[in-house]
Amino acid sequence: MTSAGPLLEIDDLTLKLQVGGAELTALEHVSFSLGYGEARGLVGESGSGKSLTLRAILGLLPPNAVVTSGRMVFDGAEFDLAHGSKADARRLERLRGTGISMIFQEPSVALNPVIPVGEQIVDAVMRRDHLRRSQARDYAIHLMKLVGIHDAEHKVDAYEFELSGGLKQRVMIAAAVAGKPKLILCDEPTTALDVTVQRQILSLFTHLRDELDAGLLYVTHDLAVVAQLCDSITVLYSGNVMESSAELGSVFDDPGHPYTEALLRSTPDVDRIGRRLYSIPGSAPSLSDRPLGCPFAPRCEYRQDDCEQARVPDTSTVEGREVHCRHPVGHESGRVQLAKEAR
Amino acid sequence: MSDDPLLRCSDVVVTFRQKQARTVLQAVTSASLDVGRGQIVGLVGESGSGKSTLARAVVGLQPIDSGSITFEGRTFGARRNRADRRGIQMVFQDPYGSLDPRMTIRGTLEEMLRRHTELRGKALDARCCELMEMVRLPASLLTSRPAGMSGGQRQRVAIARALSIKPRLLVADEPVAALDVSVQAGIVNLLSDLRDEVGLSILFISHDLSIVRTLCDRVSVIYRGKIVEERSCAELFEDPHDDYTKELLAAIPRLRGPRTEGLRDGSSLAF
Repeated sequence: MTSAGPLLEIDDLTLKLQVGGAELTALEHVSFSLGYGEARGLVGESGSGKSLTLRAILGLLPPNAVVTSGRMVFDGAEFDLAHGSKADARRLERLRGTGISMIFQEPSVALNPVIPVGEQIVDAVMRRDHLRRSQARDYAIHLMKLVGIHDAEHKVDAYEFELSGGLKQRVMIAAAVAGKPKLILCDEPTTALDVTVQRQILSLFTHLRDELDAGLLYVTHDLAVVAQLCDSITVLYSGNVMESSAELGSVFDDPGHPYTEALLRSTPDVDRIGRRLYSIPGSAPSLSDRPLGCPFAPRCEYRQDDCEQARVPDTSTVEGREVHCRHPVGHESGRVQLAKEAR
Repeated sequence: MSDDPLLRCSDVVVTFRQKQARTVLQAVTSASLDVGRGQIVGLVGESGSGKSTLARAVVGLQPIDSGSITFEGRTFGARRNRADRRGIQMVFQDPYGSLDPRMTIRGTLEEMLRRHTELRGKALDARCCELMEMVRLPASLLTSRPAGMSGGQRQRVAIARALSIKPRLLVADEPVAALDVSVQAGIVNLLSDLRDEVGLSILFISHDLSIVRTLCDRVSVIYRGKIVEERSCAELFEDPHDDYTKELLAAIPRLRGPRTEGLRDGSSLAF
């Protein structure tokens, strides 16, 4: 809205973890962008680097993580994520909670058990806007009502352990939006919730991005949630972008990367039954013995000899789409396993 | 006799006494549920609905206050004998917490077999290998410990352990909730194969309706301790009768549904 470019641009993010003297690559050349008011799903299995990507954006990485390359543009301002620039880290800190905020999977871990939830909701805003206590309290109550907490006047003084899982997650969301952020990072925020509560929360996110024009980067392994909520998608596997598209529907109807296709085939679908779920053989490589070329190659049905060559190029010819596979599936290549199964 | 279902729960009530408040919490208020031979029955409901409590009552881990649980035509008394316990086995949600980390897989399986069967020596060994094959794991893993295994492999071991003494009913409490989708698919397929190949009956507790739709023959919906609807899977998903079931089904995120359908409903937040 404010500028012509996208809200967020991540360019060539590479991150290494130091584990027991060895240096393991956890993210490799990860790039994507997110527009104002856009929701992008960041999808992958555990260990694919989804959460690390979010943490790198926030500058909240574990102490053993080293960003070796990576540039971020947020709302027109450029940040060097590598090289440990102190000035950039300070600028990033100022954005946390106000420009960028994060919603974690486990609200009971993220919330402080000895401080009433109301105070935690307005913590970041109080510091920024120098609010008085009574003003802050009123604002907290307002926010809690906004996210659908009914008796907010009472719940504002409650502690984390007095609330149910759904309420805690709402408190987290209230805290995340208190500073009217431009970017909301979500790390599996509904995984632990019941399906009816999940739907309410997804509806809340949709309203938030419409009304704040905020970008949503939504990490999950649930493709159905992505299908419902997001505009665009990035599929990660073992720290690498496998497939990325500005248009979500095209990926679901016509996946380009064999890994995306495998994920879709293994996801149970209420509307398509009587089909045997596809179970991807083997398991994800550990960071220490990742194959040189495509990390998915050892488990891939379509694997060929040249898959082991390093740095898989983007083979997509479609604008706004990336497929890092030498032998893509899908209509572009004429191999459509998924479409065959769908009928 | 053979027309009777394998398992029949009639008006089961489970209460928990709360010490401080001196009140009684009814976790399961009145649950009736059947599992037929060779059927997979899904038990779905939100957290706190009593689905795990009912499952534990079926296995005998939780005493019931009233009602009855009948298995193979025999109604269980307050205490179950060893043969009763052998007929129903359970698989838990967390494959990281339910296996002894100090025991090899062989040790885990042998412990069960030694306790409940006469198998010793070579026969014991053969049975372990057979079980591993049943859950699609290489026999070479028998010498490993859980720490070196993935979540999916551990859950397979938990299933192998439960199947080791040939139960007629397997109670699986959210067995795939902690697993990645590709691994989850393998376990769902395994359970479905076990039904088809060895006629195993399964009570499958889950909050994931898409999996229930994929795997189960019948579904029971539990809400606030009560079974509100119990029908064949196809019928229930096509045409739910109960209001709560309708709400539950409407909330399922659909892989192929129109995007943000219904999510924009409701008034503006008015920031």
